[in-house]
Amino acid sequence: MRVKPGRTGVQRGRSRGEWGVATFIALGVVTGLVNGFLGIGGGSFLVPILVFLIGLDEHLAHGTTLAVILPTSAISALIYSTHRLVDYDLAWKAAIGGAVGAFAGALLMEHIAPGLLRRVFAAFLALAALRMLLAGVLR
Amino acid sequence: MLLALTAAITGVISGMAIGGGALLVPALVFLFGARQQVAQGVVLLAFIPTALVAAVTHYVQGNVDLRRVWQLAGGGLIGGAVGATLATMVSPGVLRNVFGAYLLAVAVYSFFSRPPGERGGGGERGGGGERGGGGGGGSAQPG
Repeated sequence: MRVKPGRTGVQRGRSRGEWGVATFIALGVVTGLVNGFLGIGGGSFLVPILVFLIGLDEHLAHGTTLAVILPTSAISALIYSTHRLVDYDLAWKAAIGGAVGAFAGALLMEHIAPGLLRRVFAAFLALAALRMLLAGVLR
Repeated sequence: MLLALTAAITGVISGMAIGGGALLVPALVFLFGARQQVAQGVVLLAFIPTALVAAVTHYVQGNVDLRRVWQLAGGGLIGGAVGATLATMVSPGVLRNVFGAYLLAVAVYSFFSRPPGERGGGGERGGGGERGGGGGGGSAQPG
C-alpha cells in the first residue's frame, strides 16, 4: 500500500505538473488499443496507471476512466459494426441489463466494502480466462 | 432473460469498477456460442449506455477530471480505432487466446489489489474533507 503524501490542501491530479499533455494522450492511445482489440480492459489498464503512476485519487481515477472509455468504446464499436461483428439482438439486451446494473453498482460502491465479492469475482474471471485459453486444446 | 440477468450482474460489478465486460465476453462465447470478435463487438456496443449512466453518476459525484478526459480520450479515439481494426484482422482463436491471457492478468490483479472501499476509515484518503478543495466548485459530497 503506497502512501501518497501531500494530498491535503492541493488540487488532486492537477498538482502533478510533471505529467504533460503528451503523456496523457499516449496513455489514451494504449488504453484505446487494448480496449478496441479485446473489447474490454481499457479501464483495467487505465485505472491502476492513473492511481499508481499519475497519483489520482481512486474515485477520481474511476470516474475519469469511465468518461474516457465511453468515446473510445464508441469508435471501436463502430468499426466492429462496419465489419458486421456486432449481434444487435444480443447487444440491446446486454445494454439494458448493463445500464441498470451499472447505475446500481455505482451507488452501491459508495456503501459496501466489496472485499470478498471482489475476490470471488476475480476467481470467476480466472476460471473464465483458463477456459478460454484451453478452449482450443479441449476441443 | 438469462442474458439480461448476466448483463445486470456484470453491470453491478462494472459500476464497482472491476470491469463487467470481462465476464460478459466469455459468457457470450460459451453460453451463447458467439464468435470471439462478435462477443467483443456486442460488449463494446452494449457498454456505451452503461458507461454513459456510470460516467454521469461519477460526474455528478465530482469524480471526473474533465481536463484529463479530453487528453486521454483524444488518444483513446486513435487507439480505439486501430485496436478494433486489428481485432478484425486476426483469427477468433488467436484473439480468444490473447483475451484469455489478459483476462487472467486482470483476475490476478483484481484478486490482490484493494479498491477504495476496502481501505478502511479515513486513513489514506484523508476523509471527506479534502474533496471539497477540488476545482470547479466541487460538491461537498465525498462520493
